[in-house]
Amino acid sequence: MIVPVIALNTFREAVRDRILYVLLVFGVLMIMVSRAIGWVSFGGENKIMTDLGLSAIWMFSGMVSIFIGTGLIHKEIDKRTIYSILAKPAERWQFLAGKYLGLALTLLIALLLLAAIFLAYLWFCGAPVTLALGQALLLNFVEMLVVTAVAILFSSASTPIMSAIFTTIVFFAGQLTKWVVDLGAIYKQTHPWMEKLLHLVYLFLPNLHNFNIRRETVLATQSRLHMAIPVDELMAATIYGLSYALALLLVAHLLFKRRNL
Amino acid sequence: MPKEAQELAAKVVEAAYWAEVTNWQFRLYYIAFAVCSGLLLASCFLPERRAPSGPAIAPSREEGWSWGAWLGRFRRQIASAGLIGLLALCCVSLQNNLDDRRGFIADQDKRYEEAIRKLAAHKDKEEVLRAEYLYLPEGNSLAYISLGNTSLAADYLWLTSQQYVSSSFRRGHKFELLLRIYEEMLEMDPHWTEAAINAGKVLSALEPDRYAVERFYIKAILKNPDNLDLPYEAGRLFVVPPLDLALRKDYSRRAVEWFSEVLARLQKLQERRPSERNSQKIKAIQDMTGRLALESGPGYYEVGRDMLWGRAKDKQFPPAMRSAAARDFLCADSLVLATRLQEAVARHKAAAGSFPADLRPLVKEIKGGQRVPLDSNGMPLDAYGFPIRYDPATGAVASMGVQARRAIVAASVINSLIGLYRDAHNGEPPKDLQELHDFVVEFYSSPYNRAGPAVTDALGMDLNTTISPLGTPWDYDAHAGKVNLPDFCDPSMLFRNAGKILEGD
Amino acid sequence: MAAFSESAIKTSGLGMIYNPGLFARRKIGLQGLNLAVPPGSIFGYLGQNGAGKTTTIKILVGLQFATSGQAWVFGRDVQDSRARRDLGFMPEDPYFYEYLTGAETLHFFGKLSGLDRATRRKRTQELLAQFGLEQAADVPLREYSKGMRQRLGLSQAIMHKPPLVILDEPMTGLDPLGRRDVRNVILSLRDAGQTVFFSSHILSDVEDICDRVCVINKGSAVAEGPIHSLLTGKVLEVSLAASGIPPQGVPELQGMARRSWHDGALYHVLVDSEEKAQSAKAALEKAGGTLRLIQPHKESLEEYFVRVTGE
Repeated sequence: MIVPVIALNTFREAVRDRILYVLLVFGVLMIMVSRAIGWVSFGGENKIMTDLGLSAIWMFSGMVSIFIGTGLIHKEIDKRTIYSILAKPAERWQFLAGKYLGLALTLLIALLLLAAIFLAYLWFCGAPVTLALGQALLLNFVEMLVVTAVAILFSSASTPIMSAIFTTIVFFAGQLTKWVVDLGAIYKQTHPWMEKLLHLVYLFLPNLHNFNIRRETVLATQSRLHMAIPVDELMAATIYGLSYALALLLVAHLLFKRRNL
Repeated sequence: MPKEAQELAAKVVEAAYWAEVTNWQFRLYYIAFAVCSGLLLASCFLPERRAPSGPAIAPSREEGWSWGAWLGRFRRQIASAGLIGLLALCCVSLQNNLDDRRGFIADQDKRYEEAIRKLAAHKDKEEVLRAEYLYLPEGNSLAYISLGNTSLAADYLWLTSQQYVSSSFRRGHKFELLLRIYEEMLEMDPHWTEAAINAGKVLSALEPDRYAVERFYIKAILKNPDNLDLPYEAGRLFVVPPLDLALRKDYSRRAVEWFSEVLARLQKLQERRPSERNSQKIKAIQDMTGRLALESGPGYYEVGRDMLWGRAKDKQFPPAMRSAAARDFLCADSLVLATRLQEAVARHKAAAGSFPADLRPLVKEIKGGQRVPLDSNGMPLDAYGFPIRYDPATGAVASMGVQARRAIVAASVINSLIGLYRDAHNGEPPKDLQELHDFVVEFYSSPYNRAGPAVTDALGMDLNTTISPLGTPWDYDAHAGKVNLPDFCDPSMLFRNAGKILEGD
Repeated sequence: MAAFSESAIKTSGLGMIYNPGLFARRKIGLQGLNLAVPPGSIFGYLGQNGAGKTTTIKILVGLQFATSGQAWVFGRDVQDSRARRDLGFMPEDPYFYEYLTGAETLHFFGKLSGLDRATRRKRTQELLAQFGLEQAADVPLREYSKGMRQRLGLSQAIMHKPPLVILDEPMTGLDPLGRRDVRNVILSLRDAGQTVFFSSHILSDVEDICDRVCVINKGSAVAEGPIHSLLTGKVLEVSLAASGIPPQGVPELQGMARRSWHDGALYHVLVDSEEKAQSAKAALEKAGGTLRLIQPHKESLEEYFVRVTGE
């Protein structure tokens, strides 16, 4: 009972946050502008439109996760609204879970809204629309669940500004973690153990590029196919995301559990 | 510099300065500056009445009202407005100063072009090219900058390439630069075949070296092995013959190889999932391949022959194209027979040490895989029904029908060249074909007026107008100003067997 | 619910040491605190700013974790979340979600307390009426005054009728009428059998309503027990006032009295014992005055507090 109550309350609070609407408006604007950029291209107009739209949705849903997620816990502590809540028979993990699920719900609504506008716009402009786009958007959502978990982790341990900085770094660097393996390949001849070590480090990093199937989705959509990637790959990426998010939340709980408020 | 010139130069500079200063932007700037300064100055002189401790108060009616006194109430706001305005203008002028130093992205191209031009003045092409490459974003770094959105990076490169193509001030190295951009685009999004195909078309338009473009297509094909459009486009690169006759055969061969691969896969696809579209595509490619095979040399004639036979017998193929395919089949079949006989002659020479006296003993040898029509003496005939020519002294084998076909084309070309000669010599024809040859060689000697493929194909690279493809000198009527063909070169006689093929024989 | 024979709150050697970091000094928040709050009483928890009152309360409601010792609420360790079923808590200067209305806030906390919808609705109406917030039930909290927030804070604390109510500075910032209301609520809670544990600076309020108090200073309890047992009842001074005395006063009283003055109508004398008061009375009457006032001052809680905290 506690978790859904806090989750719904968090959702209500998030949808009142002006930053959400600012980001949504910018997201929609970028989707609309994608057509203009497609126009200046000779060939590939639909592909460019779809590319830009998916990337805009990815970027702005990421911003929502970062801006709203990083202040989530700290704001409660700072304003002391958390005191009255935790004085009830509510465990701290229930509080965290409620906050997380509330933001996840907010993200889902925002994503669905952006997706609906995007798909309608594509259809209106005569660009192909297939179920493959749904795959990309699903993995986009899973990626944001991971980013939100990162935001909550930092939010429960530091100030909003520092949380925002760290979460943003994770969001962008998570797309590029493969360079760690590339770096390891450089050492292959001189220090082979270094290559193995770096690969091990890579396996534990939040590898957000796992959720990036935008390239495959765009090509599948242009070819009017309904599957960008096989179902088992989709499942693997989804389960990876959910597991990683859960692990992060558990770490957040460990940090928050014995924190003196 | 002379004194007058110096004075003139100074006047020009001065005129430019005043033209700039009286520009509307400058006028607006100075008006704004004057207004803000005026506000600030005025606020210094406006009276302000203030209670011992409290806000400014308005003059009372008894004290007498005046503008100065009334404005005094707003002294602080006036001063603030003036100061803010001056600060804003300061920022505006500093911004202009910075922009002049650094320029805009749109100006970047001009500055870059200037720098490259300076570099090209004293550096070789390779170094300049390397400098230009440095300006382009490198593959891996683009993947990082785009935060893994490589599809978007590919779109960016595609748009950039269009700027390169359309920009008129980029001269030189356009092909190399575009190739680099397209290769990076392929790295970013290997499966964007539509862009790869368009890129190939652009590159082939810029660069006569089709092999370089073919290498680009091969890279794309390696990344998209299941795609059929890419090998088709690679083949199409070589359909238009080059000016250089020596390359023509190689071009035709490459085209035939590419198209054969596409055909084989299309046919498999057609067996699995028949479609009208694929069926039409197969027929069109077969027709093209058949013709190209005729120009590709021995080893390719059989492929061409089979394809042309298929087209000629296909009742759904348009009649005109069937007729053309049938005629080409005759040529292909004759060439196959001549090639096989030539090979048999070579084997005989290798075994016996000399060429055979005639072709009759060799016919039996090759008959197993070949339908060989024979005359009453048992000598082989080509598909046209003409005897296969054989010179026991040199061992050369040739199809008379094929030679006659070439002679028809060559005669037409020579007669057109005679027309050119007449235009240049007041309507007078050349007195002999040697004179015509000298004229033609001189006519096509200019680098801006090279002989086209039709001319070189018919006459050879040396533009021989004296000896016909039949191996004999042309029959030239100096009075009429045209070359004549022997009777057997009459098309109705030459291609009579084509009709039989179409009728179903 | 725990047995009421148990102390409502019990602490044993409770200690809290703040360890801010590498270079800052450790700070002692609490040290060896032993408390026992009997059920059904009003317990006042007094101390200066920074003495450890809020730290103690936060430990009791699970917001902070003691570094030593233990605390129980109705026999259950405070670290067990089930202990918080039996308590209602109002923080100092309560703050809630600005966008929720008063009624929504109470519903929210009612849900967290496990109340069903019907009970929540009933209790919300009751509490809003009791605290005079009916008109503001549908007004967002951002438009509430401090007093209204304080009242709402108290409402959410007692929404589920907990056996123990912990209030941190419930009367701070309230006007005299607001303080009176809160005092009446606290008294009514005790009358209903609930235990109230509250911290306060306003000693007069504590003196009026508390059954027991504990005074804490620099993290340690310096005094604890029923008020009447803490205040010795010793007379600190007696004031007398008489009429009919001339302006120059009564010379005999100059040496005896701590202070004497004439306000134009009455002559006032202040002496530091009851014996001296009798002597002063006799002297005034002998001087021809009529005694109008004789009033002993016993040690107040504030004076006691100042004495035990060593200021």
